[in-house]
Amino acid sequence: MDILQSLLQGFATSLSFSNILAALIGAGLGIVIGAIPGLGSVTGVALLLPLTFQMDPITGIIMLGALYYGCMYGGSYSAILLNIPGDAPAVVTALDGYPLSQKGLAGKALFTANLSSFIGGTVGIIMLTFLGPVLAKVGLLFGPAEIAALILLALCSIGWLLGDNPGKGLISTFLGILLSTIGLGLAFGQPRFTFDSMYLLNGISFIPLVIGMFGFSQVLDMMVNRINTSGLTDKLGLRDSLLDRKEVLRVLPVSLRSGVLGNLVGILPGAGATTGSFLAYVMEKKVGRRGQDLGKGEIEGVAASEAGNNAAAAGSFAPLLSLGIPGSGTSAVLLGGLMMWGLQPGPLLFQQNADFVWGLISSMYLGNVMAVLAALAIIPFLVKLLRVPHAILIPVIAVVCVVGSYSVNNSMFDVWFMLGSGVVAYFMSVAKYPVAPLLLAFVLTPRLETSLRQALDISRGDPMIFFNSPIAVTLLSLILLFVLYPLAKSLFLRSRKKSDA
Amino acid sequence: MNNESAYAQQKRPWLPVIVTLLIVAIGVTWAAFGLFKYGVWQNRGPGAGFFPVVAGSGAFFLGLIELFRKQERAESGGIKSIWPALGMALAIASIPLFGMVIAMSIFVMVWMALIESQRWWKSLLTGLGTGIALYLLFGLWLRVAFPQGIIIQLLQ
Repeated sequence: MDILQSLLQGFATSLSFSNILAALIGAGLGIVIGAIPGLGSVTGVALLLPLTFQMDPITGIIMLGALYYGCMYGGSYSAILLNIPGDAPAVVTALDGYPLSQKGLAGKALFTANLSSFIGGTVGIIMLTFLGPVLAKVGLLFGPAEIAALILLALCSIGWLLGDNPGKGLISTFLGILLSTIGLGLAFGQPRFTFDSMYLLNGISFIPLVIGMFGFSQVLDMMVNRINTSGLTDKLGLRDSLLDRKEVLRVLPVSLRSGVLGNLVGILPGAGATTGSFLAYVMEKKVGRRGQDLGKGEIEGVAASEAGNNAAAAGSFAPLLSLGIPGSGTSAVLLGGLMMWGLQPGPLLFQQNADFVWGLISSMYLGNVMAVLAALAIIPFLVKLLRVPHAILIPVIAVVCVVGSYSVNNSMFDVWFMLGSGVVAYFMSVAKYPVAPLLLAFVLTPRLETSLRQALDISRGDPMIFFNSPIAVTLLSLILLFVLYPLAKSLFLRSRKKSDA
Repeated sequence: MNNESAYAQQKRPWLPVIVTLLIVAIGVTWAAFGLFKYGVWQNRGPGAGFFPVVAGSGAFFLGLIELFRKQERAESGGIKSIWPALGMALAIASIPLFGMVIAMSIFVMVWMALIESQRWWKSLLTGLGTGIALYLLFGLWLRVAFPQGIIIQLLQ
């Protein structure tokens, strides 16, 4: 009851005209920033932060929270429409979103993304409201050994789940791991594979890599194959974009379970929204009714990824508010903002600044609602993008790739790197090597490497640290299941084929 | 990558072989560096070479297996993609001269006029529109410090 009362008080604080307006502006800006490849929520929040200092802290944080949510919505748009993920979690959205676009169902894909983002975000915020402090403590149960086991689980499932040929999927995963080892490893303080180039000292920047591998290789494909989309743009009105009752019933359970899983992953320090959206996708592939068809253009794939991603974003607020530990890059920037407003996130924040905390939590509901309204309103305009003739679309996407990769670090090296990775990804696709496993492995590996090293440092080299923790043992058992089950299944099927013959 | 695009008869069966050979070479290079230069196990834990050795060996062995399997039919296109990539490379190389906004505007104009065979006024308008949009969105609003280019600097 206390929580409900506090939440209602929070709503009383946040539901003023100026705050609703701030949330709407924040959500709109967030959608635009999130949709531009190369700019993510970290950039958006960092850009807006100085402007909010002149505002009332609650209005300021409402605007930033709505912007954060808007970015999460917008990140999926370029992934669905152009196969250029706006941020790392959208890589997973592109797996089904872009094939849906190619089937002429871009509107439905966007609507699914918005609806499941809203459901996932709401699940995440409700869990944060009622279980925030508890969840934050659960997050602390995940030490380096448990985090390493969790990320290993995600890595082990990549190769098996993505692509028709698991061998090529695994090779692609290994390539992603290899690329992630370039630069000054955090765990070792030693430059690796930099070939004496100062540009590689900090490692490979993810955004130019993803823009090249998804976006620019797409430009090359469109040039070479001249895909005819003219027949696909007939069904792009708002009415055609709406989901019917059956489709809503397909999306709803997926969004709910992905939201719960995404939120739990989001509270883990450093696991991030990418791990959240990917594990939700993996779960859907394993347990979903249409799991086998995921990756070929199913709304369930978009729903799992987007709900997982947005719930993880809400989850990252739990350790930030309860313990003062940011769970993601964006919440680290928000932590800076809170401190500049004179607030000290941590266990005492709920007692000393209850008005602010509950104002913030209620503003997340407000931000989520505003973001979904703004997002739904722009679907008809977004899908019109697909009506643009290829003669204009191809060079403009190429320009977006160049500008997006430059904007991350203001570096021309990144632009050249984007071009190179685009050409490499194009030839990989020609040879039927899937690109998505490479990118996901690239994102996950540095965290795994650091956690593995930390875990063994803590145990002084004793690998039993992984077997003494029930959480790690459970996760490692799941890994065995993930690797052994497909192997056993394929061996069983092969032996049955032989005996039938 | 588009899976729905038309598959042509495989004219270049060597393309997937070359890609796999490159992967095998990268795998063995990474594994060798990891093993001999960075160290697999150090201070009672995985060393800087641990992941390069594990993933490099994995890419190497799986790549070898892939080479000996019956090659799948490659997607159509392949080598034709070099021309648009070269065009883009030329545009990127001209950024230090013209600056980001002007170089990208010229790229759109030239691409539309020469490669897409569009009318000159349409190409000109789209190029100008792209430049103005880039300047307003990235330059003015987001304050991205685009390279100005030698020509603009000389004019200033």
